[in-house]
Amino acid sequence: MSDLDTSLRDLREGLRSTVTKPGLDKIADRARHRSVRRRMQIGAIVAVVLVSVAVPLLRSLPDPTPPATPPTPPTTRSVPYAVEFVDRTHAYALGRRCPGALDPCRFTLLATADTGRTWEKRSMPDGKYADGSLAVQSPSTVVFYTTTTSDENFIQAYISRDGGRKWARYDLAVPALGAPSSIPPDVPIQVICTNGGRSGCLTGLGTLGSDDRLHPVPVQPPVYEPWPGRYPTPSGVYWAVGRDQAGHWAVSVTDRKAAAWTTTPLDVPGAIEPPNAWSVVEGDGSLYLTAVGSIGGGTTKLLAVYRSKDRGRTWTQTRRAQDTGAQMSMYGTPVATSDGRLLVNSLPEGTLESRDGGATFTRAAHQLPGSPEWTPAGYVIQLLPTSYEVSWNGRDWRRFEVS
Amino acid sequence: MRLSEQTWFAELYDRCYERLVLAAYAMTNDLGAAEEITQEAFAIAYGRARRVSRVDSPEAWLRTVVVNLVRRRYRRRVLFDRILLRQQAEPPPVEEPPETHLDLHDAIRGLGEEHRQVVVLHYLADLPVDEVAAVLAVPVGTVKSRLARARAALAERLRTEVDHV
Repeated sequence: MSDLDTSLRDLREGLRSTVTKPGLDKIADRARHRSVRRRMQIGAIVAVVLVSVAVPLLRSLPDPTPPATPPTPPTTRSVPYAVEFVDRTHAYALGRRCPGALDPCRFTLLATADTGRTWEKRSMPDGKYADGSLAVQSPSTVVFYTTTTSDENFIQAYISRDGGRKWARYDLAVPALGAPSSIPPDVPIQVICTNGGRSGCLTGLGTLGSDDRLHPVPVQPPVYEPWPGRYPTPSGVYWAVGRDQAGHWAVSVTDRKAAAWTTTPLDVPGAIEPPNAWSVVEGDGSLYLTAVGSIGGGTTKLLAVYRSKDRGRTWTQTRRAQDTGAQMSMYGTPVATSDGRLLVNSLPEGTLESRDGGATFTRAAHQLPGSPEWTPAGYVIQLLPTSYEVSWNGRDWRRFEVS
Repeated sequence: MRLSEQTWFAELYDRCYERLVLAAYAMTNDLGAAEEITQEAFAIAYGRARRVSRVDSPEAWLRTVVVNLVRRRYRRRVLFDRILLRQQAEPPPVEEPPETHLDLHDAIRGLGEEHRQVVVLHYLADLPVDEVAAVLAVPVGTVKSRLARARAALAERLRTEVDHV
């Protein structure tokens, strides 16, 4: 037996020793809970049309549900919140409380108009949910995507156009497209089926209009399966990454009119797993594009850094991961500070900074408390279930609580 | 469930659980998710014990359920991710084997998805080549060639002797 076979055998035994096997009584309990959930299913299943690239196109139906009643005041301190910013001051926070692995979750919705200084409770659609996420479509339009305890394999959607006061249920179905339009302010881009998705999906970009239709952007980026940034950079650059005609990764940029795109091929080693792989941030007159993925083992390594000094018209690669040797990890989005630095949240090193556009990194004097995410309000870091920090310029951070 | 069925089910559980977890791990690359999916598969089998006890290979039946659960979960996650274009804030915790195996485990995780799956299913979940082919829905020859390339890649990474499959 070769050394490799011996090592594989030892690894197999090692992995087996780490596997946690619960007692059979736990399996029996789980089986009983499954049985109860299935009996609770009433009426037709809301079927999700899972085309090759599923898209949440929303078409309004007569609302069969009674008006949502405000939930009883939550114990907010024990409920973790996920915050979604619409613009620099408006945000929604979705709180989730799941009493047990097999019990339905309860969700709470809060809204702020002063960047988290104060919060107002809003309502949520009634129901017993196994899972759920919030997507903010405009300052007053939010969509709650969920799976119910009666069938966790199908996703349902509820939409509110008044900031979470009234909700209507939507079927996820083949979309009705609207006319192409430029990107409205404070409205995120999303991936859509530009051909309607009835027989296969031709992926492209668009936005949800107030007419409940998805409006493609006037000109689509010339890349296959584009993965866009939902919101623009501070100076208004919209971007998307996809495969070009030659099959290479490429970044396309445009402005809010989306009438023309400038596309640049990228050289990124390793294996990319969209949609979390790409980030574009902006600071001190430069755009930075980063790609994360796997290379040479391990997880979530920083594969490449590109910089543009002309709002994405041209890009220069400043860093490329090598196939061997130690790799730098990156979690969350990078931070481009107003004084020309690029910050990366890495493990186990902590926060690293570059003063040469991403070519080299050293440990930063100010350590970020967690993984940042670029939002319309700037960079946001979640510290605790209800505690966040926000910064517009990457240098000055303010803490806010969701309560 | 009758006593004889309970005994049979308990034996099936003891015999197959770890292998099925590793089979799920091949597809999820997440040991925690693999455990949860495998427990769900056994819960499904528990509710249908009489029927499962009559199939030719209850373990193969369970493995099919595991594969289907993985695919459903992946579709839902892809759907959520694509809808929300969400950035992951923190990496998921990874259960590590004992330290002596970290290099090889790291090397396996660094393989491309196709090669990683065959290595984990054949060498770690201990499935024969024809069952690996059935799980992945590819020809046996494809599995063999992927295994050969994966072994070569692992050996190169670890600088060990290569035995041809």
